[in-house]
Amino acid sequence: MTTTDNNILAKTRAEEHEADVWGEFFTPPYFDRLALSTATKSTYIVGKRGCGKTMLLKYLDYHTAFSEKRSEIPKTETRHIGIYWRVDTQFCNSLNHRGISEHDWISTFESYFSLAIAVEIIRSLKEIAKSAFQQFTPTDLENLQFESVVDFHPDYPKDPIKLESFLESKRRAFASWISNVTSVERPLLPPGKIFLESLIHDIQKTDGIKDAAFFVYVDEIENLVSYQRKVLNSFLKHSQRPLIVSFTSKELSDETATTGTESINATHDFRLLVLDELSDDNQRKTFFAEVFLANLDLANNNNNSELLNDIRDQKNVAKRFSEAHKNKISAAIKLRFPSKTYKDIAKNAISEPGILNILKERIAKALALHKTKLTVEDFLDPRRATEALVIVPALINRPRHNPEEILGYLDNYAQSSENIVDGKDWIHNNLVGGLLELYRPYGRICPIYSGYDTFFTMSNNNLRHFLILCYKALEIADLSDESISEISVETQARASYEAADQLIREIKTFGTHGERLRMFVLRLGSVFRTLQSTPAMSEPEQNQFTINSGNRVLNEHEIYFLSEAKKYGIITEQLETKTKGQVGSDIVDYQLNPIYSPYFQISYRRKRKISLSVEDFHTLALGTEDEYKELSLKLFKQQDRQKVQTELWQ
Amino acid sequence: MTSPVIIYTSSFSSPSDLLIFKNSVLFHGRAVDDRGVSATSFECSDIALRMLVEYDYDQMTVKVGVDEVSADMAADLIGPYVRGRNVVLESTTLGFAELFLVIRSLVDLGVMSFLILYVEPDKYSRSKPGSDSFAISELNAGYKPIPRSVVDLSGDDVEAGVFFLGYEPERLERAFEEYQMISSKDIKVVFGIPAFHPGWELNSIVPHLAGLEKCNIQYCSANDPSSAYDALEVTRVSLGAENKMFIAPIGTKPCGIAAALFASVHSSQVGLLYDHRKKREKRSSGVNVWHRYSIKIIIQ
Repeated sequence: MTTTDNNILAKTRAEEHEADVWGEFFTPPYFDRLALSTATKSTYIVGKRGCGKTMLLKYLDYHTAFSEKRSEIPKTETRHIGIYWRVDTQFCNSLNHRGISEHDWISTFESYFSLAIAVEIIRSLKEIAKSAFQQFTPTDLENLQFESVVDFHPDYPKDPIKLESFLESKRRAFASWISNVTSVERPLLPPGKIFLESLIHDIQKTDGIKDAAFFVYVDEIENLVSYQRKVLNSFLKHSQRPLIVSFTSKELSDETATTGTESINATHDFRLLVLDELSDDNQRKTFFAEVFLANLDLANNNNNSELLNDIRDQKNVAKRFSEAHKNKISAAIKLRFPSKTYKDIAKNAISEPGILNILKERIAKALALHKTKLTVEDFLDPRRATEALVIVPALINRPRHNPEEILGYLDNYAQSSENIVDGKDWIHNNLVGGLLELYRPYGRICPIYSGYDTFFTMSNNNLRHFLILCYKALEIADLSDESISEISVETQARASYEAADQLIREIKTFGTHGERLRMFVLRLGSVFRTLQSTPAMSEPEQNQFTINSGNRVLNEHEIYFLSEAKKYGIITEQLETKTKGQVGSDIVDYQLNPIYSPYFQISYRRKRKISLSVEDFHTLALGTEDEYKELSLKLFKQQDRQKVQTELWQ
Repeated sequence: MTSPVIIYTSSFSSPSDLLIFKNSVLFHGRAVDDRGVSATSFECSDIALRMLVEYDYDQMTVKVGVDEVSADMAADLIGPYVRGRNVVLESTTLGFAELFLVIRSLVDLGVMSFLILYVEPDKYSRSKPGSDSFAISELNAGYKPIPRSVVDLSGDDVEAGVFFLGYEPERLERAFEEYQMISSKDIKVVFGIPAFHPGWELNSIVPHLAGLEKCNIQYCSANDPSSAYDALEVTRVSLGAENKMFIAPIGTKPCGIAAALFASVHSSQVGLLYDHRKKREKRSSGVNVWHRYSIKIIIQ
């Protein structure tokens, strides 16, 4: 690949793309369900980091819809002229306090919004005129006059280009005033909504765009100050064609009030679209693979591949749901990211002398706890299945079974594949934990973090994380002169570790508590790793926690911390309903994002949880290093003690 | 063109060697480490008054001693303390926002000559012994405005930006993450080289390497505000007519001093982008070189 090609694969964030993403946006499976171009009321799009929200907004924006790269643009396109308004939150935050009443700030912010959007509306007309859209030409733009603007101020020019320049100068004057509210004269600004509506009314007088409608998508609405959200809520509540204001954010804003007495709600005022809920796991999984493979085609200068043509065109969404298409995509990506069964991984592991030695050492250590004549060699009979051998150290460490019994189970398994002990599938329950423990001592990366299915599970619905895993694997394979058309499981596992390392470092940038969130992930991951390393591995694959005890309820700081951790996808929440006797109780489980699991060499699968008290959680989230060390030790001992109590170890 | 700011730099190994003018008022912040304690409490009979200055980024107010006003009115609060006195700013402990607000107020008040002190530490605290990363900040409130130097990054007239970089790569990453409109501007990142100590420059360069793809890289001496000021001037003179630039002083304090001076004297062209982090207690240890920057501002 050339350098340029690699640049395509380095882009995992929408912000790394230009405003015009025509040809680079891949239609997600839920696209038809958005029905944004025919919307008659506002939409509130909610999507977590990495779900493709920004790329979607760029696609909806006029820069893409009227891209110069489009050879044909249907005449209905102006029925949805999207304006993606990414707010400068630090600037908007300065429109607050400073000796000016909130009432004044409200009208100031309305004017600022109107000013910014008016400029965008005129710019969109310039783009439309330049584009292949035939119903509005550069001559139409020259002829267009904003007759109504003089009603607002006699100085406002009617000509679009002059008006744009005039409004820009107003905006500069406004920014200067905001910087120096006490020493610079406040400029006269256009009023809010009515000004925009008048502009649009003038635009609709041109025949070719008489049905023009403008859809403003305000991104990161949750980061604005409260009164500003109320102003925009008012815009949203009273939105109708031809001016519809919609919102997007990581999570639903908690401000529902408007500047009047009304409030907004999802039933009457907007359609709530939670992107993660618009497609199921199967659709998402195929889409993730499609995006990767399509980017690969782009990187290889295969710009008109069948896949790219399919995935770029909105009309092909339904076609892509066919089993034949899904199977084709699945086969293509599995070829590149092959996987091995856990049994095969166990077999390969034991064939490596270093790992075999670790296994022998562990069995020997465990046998020493028993009065037995059995030796390590008795367990290493070549007839034994390797997947069973891998879990032997943990089984012997459990006092419930003596080594002779375990040897009997192994024989039985070798002969009949019977692996149910005490009603439990002991290989299924312990194999992943056993493998992780075998690979840990020398810091080797366990190959379980490989394969398309695993990459998808670890990415936890986050497209960006999936792409990072895939691109890292490609990069490592390329650098080590390995084949990039079929990447080895070892290379994939190395890539998983490096992706996890990079993404853990990135947590520092997650809002005000970034550094604390990072520490929390490091602490939580280390606790899971420590618990997994107990010799008996009585609770393998712990990677969730629940807060279900303590002498108090979570306080305001802890609740906020949890909400930040959820907002940034560090933990995911699962409501688990458990019934004990006649009383049902809802328990909230939190899983550490599995993308981080390779860093700690813990399981990425959602399996077991640990119980924390409110105080324990406080220590993990906000406690000092000393408090954390104490907690870590306590949890380790607790698990050890539980084992002793339940299994009556002598 | 002659620069409107002249900075005379001298360095000392002990505060007893510092020349402080008689009847001075010293503005300072809260001390969180050894050098901060030394910088705020060193004995000097010429210092008549020591005033604590604090900025509240949520309310955008500034507090001097016990009095608090909107930061837009900072000059009203500072005025009475500087009248008839010489002025010293202790920049080791003053946060960047406080430093800027005091300098901007001094310019408004016509105080065109003053001293700025800065004390280097022996070493900065690492996250863990031997770790590559440093534990110098606690909470980071994110990028919040500082009145008198607010900039609208979404405006097309903001043409360029200069980031002074230090030990915390997440600060730059967060700026790019939260202010995506920055990526379309002409961005320059400036590393402090030579660093305070030979080898320390790697602590700032290495962690930033991954995120510098679209940026021009420049260097200026880590402890010399003049050098940083010159780097800013290069960007300012390249601006188109009526265009602006922003400065993100997230590197060393001497670079922050340059940024504060520059934004104060070029207020119509320059805005500040700053993340207000809480300095960690014991973020550094030991006391090293004392710098005395004598500032003279000439505004026609």
